[in-house]
Amino acid sequence: MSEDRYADWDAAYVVGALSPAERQDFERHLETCPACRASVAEIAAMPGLLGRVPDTQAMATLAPEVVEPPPAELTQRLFDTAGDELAERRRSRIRRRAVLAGAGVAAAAVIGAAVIPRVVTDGTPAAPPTVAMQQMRPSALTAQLQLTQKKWGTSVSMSCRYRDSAYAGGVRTYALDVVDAQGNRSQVSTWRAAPGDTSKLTAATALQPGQIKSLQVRDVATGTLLLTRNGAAS
Amino acid sequence: MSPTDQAVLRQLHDDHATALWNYVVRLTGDRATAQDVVQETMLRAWRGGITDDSSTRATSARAWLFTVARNLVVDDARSARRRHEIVEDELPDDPVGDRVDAVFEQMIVLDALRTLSIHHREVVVRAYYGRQTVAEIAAELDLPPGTVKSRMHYGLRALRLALQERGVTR
Repeated sequence: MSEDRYADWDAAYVVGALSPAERQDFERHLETCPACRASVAEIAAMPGLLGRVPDTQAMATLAPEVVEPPPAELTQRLFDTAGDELAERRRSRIRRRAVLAGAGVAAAAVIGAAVIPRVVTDGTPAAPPTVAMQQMRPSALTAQLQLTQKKWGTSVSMSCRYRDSAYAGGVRTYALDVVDAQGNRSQVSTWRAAPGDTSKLTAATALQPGQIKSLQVRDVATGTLLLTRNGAAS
Repeated sequence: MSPTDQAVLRQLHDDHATALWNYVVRLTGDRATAQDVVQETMLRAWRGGITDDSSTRATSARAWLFTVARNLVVDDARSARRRHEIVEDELPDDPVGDRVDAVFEQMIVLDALRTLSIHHREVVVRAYYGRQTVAEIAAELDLPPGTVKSRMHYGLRALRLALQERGVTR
């Protein structure tokens, strides 16, 4: 048994690389050798699995691998997103401190923007124009915005469409943020959307339109900024 | 706090971004998808404090990054498959779902194949995909035929192990 010259012939046999004479030889041996039969059975599923990969792709794994640097755009986005997260963490620490210090009113003005029912016009003469948000990176999301000035701030109406795509990844949660001239970001709405959905929502901020630097849609799970639109203060 | 955090991300990026990017591009064959996956993977590592210095982690940051990236790609392939199943529920056979399955399995097998050492991979690939015999491979690589058989033997076992780790076979 330990001197079995056929002990490592199993793989060559299952991938069909033995010569006809060797194959006959090995098959005769298999009839009398349970150990070799077991070895063949162990790897018998491999040819079927290898068959899932086209020849050209498999042969390409033998070529020297071409190593390319990651695109500059990717690096840029990575550090932008991380920077946004750090700024947000700092702000929420400051907000927590402010609340603890009893300055709850000021904090509420920043955080307290909430989704409210459709706003009745405050006697605005003409409906403000609807503008499309710009993609900050390729995604399945598109959105239109309408900003209406109110006595208390700005009403933001948004229609957000989640186009079906081969690589969308199911239902996701998004947030709409308002950024002021100083770069302070506050979340004014969140919603969930699945491929093919169109979400209509109205959000509110205490900022006047002239104080809004930009409005941005981000993916809540990843923190990735997806869409942006400059405001009057940009 | 923030300069430190930025430096940690910078270090992760400089040490691993190129390897991770090339790995994910080969895995997905799609640069747009690869960008999303690499960014998400690097951010998770950064948020989770994964670094090469951390002695609490048994595996290196590189292995951690590759595993997370592969799982993201696989999860997305699976959810794409589920979406197609829901949409095409009423059809008796599901050509789109089958295609997603096929693409998914192809990706996993190719990934597993790449984990083999070059010595193992070259004999397996030449034999199976190049349809070469042991004798032909031995002549081209200037190796004894016994060595070719032995490398195939260990190569297919390494492949089986890699596929088991990826949940493809028992």
